[in-house]
Amino acid sequence: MSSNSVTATKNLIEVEDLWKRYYVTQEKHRSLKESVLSGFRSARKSELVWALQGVSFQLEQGRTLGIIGNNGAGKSTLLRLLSGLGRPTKGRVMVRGQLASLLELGTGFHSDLTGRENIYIGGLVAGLTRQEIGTRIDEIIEFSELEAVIDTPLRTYSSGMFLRLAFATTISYEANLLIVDEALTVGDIRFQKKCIKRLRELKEAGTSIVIVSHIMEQVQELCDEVLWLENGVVKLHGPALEVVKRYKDRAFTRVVASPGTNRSESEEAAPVVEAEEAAHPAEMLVGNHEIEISEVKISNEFGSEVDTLTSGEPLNVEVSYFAHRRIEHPIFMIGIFREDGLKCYESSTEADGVFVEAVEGAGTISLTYSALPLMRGSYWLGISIFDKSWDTAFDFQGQKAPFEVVGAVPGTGIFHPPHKWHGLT
Amino acid sequence: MNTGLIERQEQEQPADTTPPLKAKNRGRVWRYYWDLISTLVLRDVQLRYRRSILGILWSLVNPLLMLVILSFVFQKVVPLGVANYPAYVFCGLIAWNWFGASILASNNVIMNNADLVRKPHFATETLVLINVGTNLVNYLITLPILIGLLLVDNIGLNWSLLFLPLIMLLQFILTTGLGLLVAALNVYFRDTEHLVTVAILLWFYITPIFYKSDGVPKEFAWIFDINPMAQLVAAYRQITLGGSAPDFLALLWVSFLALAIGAIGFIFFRNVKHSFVEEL
Repeated sequence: MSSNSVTATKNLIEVEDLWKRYYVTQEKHRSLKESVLSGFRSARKSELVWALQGVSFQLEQGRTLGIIGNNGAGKSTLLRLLSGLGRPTKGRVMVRGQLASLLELGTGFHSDLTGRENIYIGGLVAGLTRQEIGTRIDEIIEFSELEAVIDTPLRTYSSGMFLRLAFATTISYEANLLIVDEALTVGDIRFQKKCIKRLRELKEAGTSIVIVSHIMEQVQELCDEVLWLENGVVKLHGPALEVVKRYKDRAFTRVVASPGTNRSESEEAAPVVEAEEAAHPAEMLVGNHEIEISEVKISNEFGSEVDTLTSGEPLNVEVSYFAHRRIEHPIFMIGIFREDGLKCYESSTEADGVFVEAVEGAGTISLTYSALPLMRGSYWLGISIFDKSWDTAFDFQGQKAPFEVVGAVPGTGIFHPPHKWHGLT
Repeated sequence: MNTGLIERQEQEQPADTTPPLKAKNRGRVWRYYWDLISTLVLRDVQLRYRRSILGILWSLVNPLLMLVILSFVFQKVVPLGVANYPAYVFCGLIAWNWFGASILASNNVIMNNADLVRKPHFATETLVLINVGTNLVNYLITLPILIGLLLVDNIGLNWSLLFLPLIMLLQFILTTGLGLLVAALNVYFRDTEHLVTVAILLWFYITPIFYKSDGVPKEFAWIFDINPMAQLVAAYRQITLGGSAPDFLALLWVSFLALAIGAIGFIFFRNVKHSFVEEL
């Protein structure tokens, strides 16, 4: 019925110059005297916050989009607008076809109704007839793994059970666009995996998915394209692998490129892909490649290559490089970073008092950790090569050496030094 | 609900284009709305008395108590001399309760269902319909008592009862139209709620529920003539106690009012509902 969309192709989502502004009101506590003095005029201070500033992008039917960015970059706002929650301050959001949103899981659910009754309510609210729900209710119950309690009131469910029910209900709607928030990161790991698997199946069946996530593996695994938001502006939009790599590199640059180069937090980042180069210290990010890191090998104490390490075990790192010309006194730098970019530690040949004479052609350099008592989790090695005065970066590598730390280490934090308690009888 | 609503939305609101799943099929749309409204009405009725011992019987307690009190006051204390007074009062009372309770509940129907209102593509109008539907169920539950009273008074059941669905339909449309207006207005002006509470109370008194309008001086008769609830209550009484067809001329007037208010309610509601989410 909208005739002006004839020329528009099979874009499922079209977002044009989207702006969204919020008023953040702060109620200020003031004394009576102050109130009287100000004549009881507005005790509130309103602040304008632009959550989105001219975002444009398109998504074709069947493609899957990941949205990444720091907290406060505007990801959730964008997701809400795509879901039809709230209206843009300026610009246009167009979503063709049927949408199912995991943003507000369990809408219409009532705690006094049973799981089964709530599946009906949830389905009806999402636009299915009773008959259509009836044909898929067995599947929903099976997926949620709540067969045993499906006829007891929802208020007896744990929050994990509630989520399972809501998720199972929502993904059964056969929408052609599924909007997924980080809701998936809640619940037990096994069910999470199951959800991801189901999303992949839906994707293969042609459903488009828009997902916001902080977990880059998830994004890389599920998404064809990634939209990187920063301060409400599209920083980069492109193939998932490339954008995620750049995003991770950026986190790395920020860590490595210490004083003076902290320009990545650019306020004036333009919303186009090309502008990304300018906003970034590009030569820092990529390095001038006069020396290139060709390979990073991680091996255990017996010399076999590994990607998993038990906490507290030793670790060998071997870095292969190729120097295109002879370079005197280069500095090798190595750091261990947690998956989210947190620097666990960083050091360099210079800091350790190791003097590298010169490099030319292919070569390797290695180091040994006699023990790495890290907490369980995913980490990666950040390796970089600088010239002797730290002025030029030759190469950075963050992706070539990811590894997992396993082992039953109790506690939280980054590392788990061997310890013993004393003085207790 | 009509399907035109969905199409219009599509033209005006690019962000809200999507009708309910597979809504291409018109028959399916009707079926969908029937399922949605009936299920949610049942849910509301079910939930209202869940975990109470008397359960649904509570729906009878309120009108029965009113019946006892009104019968005592206007038969014994201030006798009005109305024949078959209990049946007379009860007939008007349950119709009024359906109307009054629906309008009062309309005030908060949007605020109380914020999660559904936020749901994209959820037709918010249905919330008002569900509210009127839930109170209709209450009306139907009390109907057997009215029939009992008619039998006790030896009035019996007449063929004229066949007009009941027609009169109920008119009341349904009238109530829904007003309910839509009240529901939408109260989102923007919370004064609406207080105004409506007072208005409904006054309206109750100018509708001949517990008295007869015969004795009213001629110069005030217009109050009852234009009052659609007065006409509806009169029609209910005509077909139950009177045992004859209702006053069609009066019903024509009520039909006109009901359709006009219904249309105004729907159009107004549809024009403002897009900004509900931001007002919540």
